[in-house]
Amino acid sequence: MTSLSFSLAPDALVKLHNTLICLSKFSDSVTIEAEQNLLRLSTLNSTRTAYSAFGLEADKFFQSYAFSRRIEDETARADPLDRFCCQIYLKALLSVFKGRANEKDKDTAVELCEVELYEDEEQTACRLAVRMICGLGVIKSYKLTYEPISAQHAVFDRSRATNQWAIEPKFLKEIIDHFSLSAEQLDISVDAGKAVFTSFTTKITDGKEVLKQPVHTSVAIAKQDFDEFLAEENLHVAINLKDFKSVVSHADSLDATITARYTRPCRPLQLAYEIEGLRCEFTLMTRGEADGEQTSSSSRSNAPQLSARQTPVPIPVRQVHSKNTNDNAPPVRTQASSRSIRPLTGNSTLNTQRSSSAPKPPAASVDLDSLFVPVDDDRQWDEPNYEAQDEDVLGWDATGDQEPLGRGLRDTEPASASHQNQTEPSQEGMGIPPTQRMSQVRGLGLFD
Amino acid sequence: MEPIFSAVSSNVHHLYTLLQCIGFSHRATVQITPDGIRFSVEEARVIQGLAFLDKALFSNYTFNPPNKEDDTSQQLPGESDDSPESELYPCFVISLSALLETLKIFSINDSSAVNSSRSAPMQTSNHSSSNAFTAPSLLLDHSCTLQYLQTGSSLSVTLNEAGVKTTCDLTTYEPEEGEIDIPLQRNAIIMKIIMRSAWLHNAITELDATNPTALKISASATHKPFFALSGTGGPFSESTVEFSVDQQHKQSASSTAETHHKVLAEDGSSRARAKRSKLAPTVTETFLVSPPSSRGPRIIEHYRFALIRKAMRAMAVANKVSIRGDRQGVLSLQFMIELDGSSAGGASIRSRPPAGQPLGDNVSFVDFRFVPLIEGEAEEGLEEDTGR
Repeated sequence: MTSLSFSLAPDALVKLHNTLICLSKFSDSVTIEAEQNLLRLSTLNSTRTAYSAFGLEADKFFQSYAFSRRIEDETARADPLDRFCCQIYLKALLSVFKGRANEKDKDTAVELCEVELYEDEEQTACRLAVRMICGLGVIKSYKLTYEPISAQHAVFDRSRATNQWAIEPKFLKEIIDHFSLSAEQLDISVDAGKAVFTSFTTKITDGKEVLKQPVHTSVAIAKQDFDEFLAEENLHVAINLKDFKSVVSHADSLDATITARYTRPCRPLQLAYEIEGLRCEFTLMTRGEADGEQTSSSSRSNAPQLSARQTPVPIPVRQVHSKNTNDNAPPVRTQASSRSIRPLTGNSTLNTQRSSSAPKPPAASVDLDSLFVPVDDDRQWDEPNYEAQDEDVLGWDATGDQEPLGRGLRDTEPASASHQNQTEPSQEGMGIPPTQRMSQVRGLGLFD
Repeated sequence: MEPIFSAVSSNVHHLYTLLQCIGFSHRATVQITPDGIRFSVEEARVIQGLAFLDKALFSNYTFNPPNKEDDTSQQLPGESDDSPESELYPCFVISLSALLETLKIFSINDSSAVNSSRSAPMQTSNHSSSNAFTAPSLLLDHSCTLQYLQTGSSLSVTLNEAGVKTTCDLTTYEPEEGEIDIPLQRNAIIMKIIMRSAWLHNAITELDATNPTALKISASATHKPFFALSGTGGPFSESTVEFSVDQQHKQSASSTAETHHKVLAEDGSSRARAKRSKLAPTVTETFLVSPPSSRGPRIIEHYRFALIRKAMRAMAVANKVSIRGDRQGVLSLQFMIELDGSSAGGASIRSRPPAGQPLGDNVSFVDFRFVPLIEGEAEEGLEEDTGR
């Protein structure tokens, strides 16, 4: 039996609305987690490359907050994380917490918002009750349907981040204005003491027709404008520009200084900021040119950087590697199977997903790395995600020959060894280039 | 030959505002009476909209009822209350959408017109007259003539704008046989609630956000919640807007229940609020609920939300709304629309008290009637809609 109730003052309601707007740019539905002193709203986008989380602190953000959970089941009691988790369609939430600032009728403006959730094992209602108490005795109440799920989080180890900078959002907002509307990616680098933000679009051609023109716009920000700046020179990381825009516009609405932390390309980058009672974190997968030498040395140490907070028992994913691995193998499949899946413990489970079959254009795989893929213990998510991955791959394969970013784009890339007639995992292993991580090699069960 | 009907209006926008309220259907039945023109719109016999363009809206209004050969002793219009008389008034069907398009010609470049139709009527009354660049000064040369020559001829709309004359002849059709109004039993009204239309509009907008299929109206004179509107059957949620007694104003609302009989004419909602009886929601000016004894203390009726939505334009424009329900559940929403200053054009306006005075000549009414979903049908309808 779970009961959760909290109330919000009008100004917190505005913040909540902005938060929901920001979340809605990442996903269709939001995961709500209630803990003893924290309410967390998080989303993971459909391609699992962007994770956003907002922590609302019980005693600061809310007027009142009460969460209680009584567990009859002894086994469940063992769960150290005493929390309740559900998922709600964001559109429904937004229609309830819609912008009320411009309501012309001040008399009936919202004075207090009460939210209640009560779950009993006996009942199957699954309703989140929201009551807006407005002036003149007008009460608006809603019952929203929610779906109980278990939450997924991207965990980012801040202590391992080697690059870090912090800046006021207005500077970033300014530079966004310069970027072309059609730009899709944002490259962040440091050049001669300046932070250079470059928006770009990968050229996509369909036959003779050019679907997307590459446009590069670079804007540099002097180090002095940063509150704090510590980043490696000439290190390029690229993230989705749309995500970046969403984050910056939300941070700007709160006027909170954004801190970015990252290590290197193809490892997650985190943007974080906080104000009184509200913590915001965005973990975004980066793409870019991973330097081979650096990759191999740093991959293992960095591996734990991103991991799942909740780690159910991993289901051994064993995809039979029956696919013919000749050059004609469709690149799409190659992409999908190139995701590095390693056992939780790093030992004997065969990583049969690995394929080094088709001579694969490395550029095509750039953006495919989901946040969770490089993580050893996240394999349980991979299986149901094939579809999404495939779709994604299709888009990127069109750029196959462009190779705008050169080779060796990501550390987990099995690269382009084209071995004919590979039918056994052992042969596969030979196709793995030096950039292969040690843990992955172990995963094949060959060198353990 | 003298036309049956001819009327000149110097403020087309008023006509447009009123007719737009019932613009949910393409065809309107028009009846010309000595007191004004009545536009009636209906859809599938379950919703009906009525807009009455009072002759006060026109600076010149002449009506010569057609003489029937067998009725030589016809009285002058207005002097007879006999019901057969009204049947003699010309009645025809026109394309309402075409008429609205025509009337819009003036509004195209008139931003104030757009504003006044959207914003709260109370504000507009002062607003447009205060600005030298808005309606009155610019609309001086505008005039609109409606003319109906003889039975069966077209309705001609002539718009005059600084020498530019636009004439539009709208074909008239014979009304369908048996076109009857949705009957509201005036002697069996069991619910009468008068409140500011903005609050109803606000509530319906709120419910609309969750895309419900049915609107539930629940009212009780004795039990909480006294007056509640719920949207049911939406895909994600159910929502309710409840009008209750404002706790903060409870103390001041100590006095008697006599203010129940507050009438529309009384101005100043805050004053009315203070004198309210405890058992009426704060936002209502009149709150009369007397359910028949057979139905318990609470009146609950369901209406199709899509139909209610059709009245939203009127809700947005209107100043006050009177919500009435009869024993059979027929819902009547009567909207009082206050039009800004220069309705009839000419000196009579200036002699009138400043805007804000209710029930002046420039007040018009738009009426909506809804047939309820009968019990069982409400649920069926929901299943149907959610199943889609």
